[in-house]
Amino acid sequence: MDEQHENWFEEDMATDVVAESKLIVKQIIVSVIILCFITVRQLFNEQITLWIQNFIY
Amino acid sequence: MSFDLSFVYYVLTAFVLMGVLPLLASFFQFSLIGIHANKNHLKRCEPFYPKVAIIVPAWNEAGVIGNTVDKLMGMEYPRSQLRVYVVDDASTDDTPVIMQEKEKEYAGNVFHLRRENGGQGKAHTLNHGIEIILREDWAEAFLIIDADVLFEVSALRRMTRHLVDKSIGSVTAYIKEGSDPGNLINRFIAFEYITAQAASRRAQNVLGFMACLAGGAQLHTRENLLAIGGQIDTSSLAEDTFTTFKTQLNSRQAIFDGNAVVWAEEPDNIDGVWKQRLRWARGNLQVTKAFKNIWLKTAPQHRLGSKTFSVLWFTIMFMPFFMILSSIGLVSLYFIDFAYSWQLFKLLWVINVVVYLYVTLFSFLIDTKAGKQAWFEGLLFPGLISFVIIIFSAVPGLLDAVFIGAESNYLIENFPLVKQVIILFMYAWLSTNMIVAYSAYRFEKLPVLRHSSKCLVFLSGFGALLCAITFVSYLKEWQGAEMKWDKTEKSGKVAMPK
Repeated sequence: MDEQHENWFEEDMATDVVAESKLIVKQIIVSVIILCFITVRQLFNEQITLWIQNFIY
Repeated sequence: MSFDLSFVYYVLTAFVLMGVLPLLASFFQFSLIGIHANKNHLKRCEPFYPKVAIIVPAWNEAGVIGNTVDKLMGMEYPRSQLRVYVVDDASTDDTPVIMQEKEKEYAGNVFHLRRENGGQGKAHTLNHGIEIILREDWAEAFLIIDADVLFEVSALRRMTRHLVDKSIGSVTAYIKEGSDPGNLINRFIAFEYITAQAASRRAQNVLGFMACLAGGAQLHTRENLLAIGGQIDTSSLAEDTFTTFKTQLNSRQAIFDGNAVVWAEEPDNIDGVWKQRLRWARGNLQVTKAFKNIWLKTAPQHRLGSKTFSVLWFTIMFMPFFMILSSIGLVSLYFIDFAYSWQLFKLLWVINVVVYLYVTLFSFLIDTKAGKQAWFEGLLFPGLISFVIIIFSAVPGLLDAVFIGAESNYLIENFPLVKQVIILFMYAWLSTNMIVAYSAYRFEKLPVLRHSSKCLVFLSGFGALLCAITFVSYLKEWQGAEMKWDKTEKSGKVAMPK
């Protein structure tokens, strides 16, 4: 196997390991967004409901 | 909320909650993706460039085959280790002429295998090529692809690096929708492929099983191909899923490499999607039946019979029925106990909101390029009407304020007729969206209504279209419909981004 083939492999692995690792970060970002959404929805449930009712009626 | 624990309540509540199962299955798979960073096969990879025979089944592929061969030969892979065999299934267009030119251009690397009596379908065509190639000892691995699929320069070597581990029998790549220019249907598919491939197959890597190797990009070791009988299954419409199952039942792993990217031209109209997916859905039913002894039975040599795989598999297979039962449950409870039905409806859709947000946002991030290209179709994947219900469900109190309002005694007979109709419509929507999607398919065939068909898909959602196809696949199998290989028409408009 020549050097070029070794280099291809090293390049691919370097890129792919980073790409896969980034998925954890992305998952954490999305999970935080979802948790924030759920928290806000629960914490301010009554306030938002009242505000919505006042807005509509 | 009324908690009458009568049998009818239990049954109807269970029906309603069945609508949640596909959502939970989806959420579960997406939640495993982060784990893939640590639990993947990359650690066991080494530089490995086996002699690969690429088998390209071709029937009237003059529009694409030349470019496909050029791209294959342009891959960064040792030329001496690469051969392309185009198995020409008695094409009547210029495919033979183009292939003769390519044979000369890439002498010793590209071969044209002509079948004079063709028309039996892809699996038979592949088997013709496999049989010839296996007669020689040259090939150490077999890459089975579709004629329109374009491989990125590094895709093959990213797949072969896994084969250094002898427990791996086959590897599949990430097929991306590459129509240029693409239309609405193409972009729906582009988004769907992020969820069904880039996300779902990573989750399956983590769980230790693979439901299906992509038919357009599957690499097998010679040993694996011989172990599964030296040929591709011809008894079903899902030869790729059959091969995937047999690989794992023979104690070899089938894995997905999401960084090995290939581009394909997918259908650009509803009829094309319908034909392709009906073939897949019927094939899956045939696979379910053919491998009936594996379900929910654990085995030491594979994880196909694991509870997790069985649940995920059947959640998809039964999805149309879950949706229908969910609607039946809600509509029935509407007449029995509206207040209770309303609480269940809101619960169902709040879960929908959370899963929708999670899956959609994460999908956009998993493949940012495809997500950028298909963001609109991604947002409207569940359909415009479901999207509106999701928005209403996301804001606390909004559904109550709009529909219940002053009628807080929940006496449905006091509601204005319009509200009653809209509520019933929303309750039934989980299943009636399939009827709308089916109408889109039928309308596309009628010149007068053709233009409205895509609007109907927008309303019903692409997911509902797929669900409707799954439902029809049961009817076709039940009727014993002919196993017809409806080839997806290719125009050659697939292109790799520069």
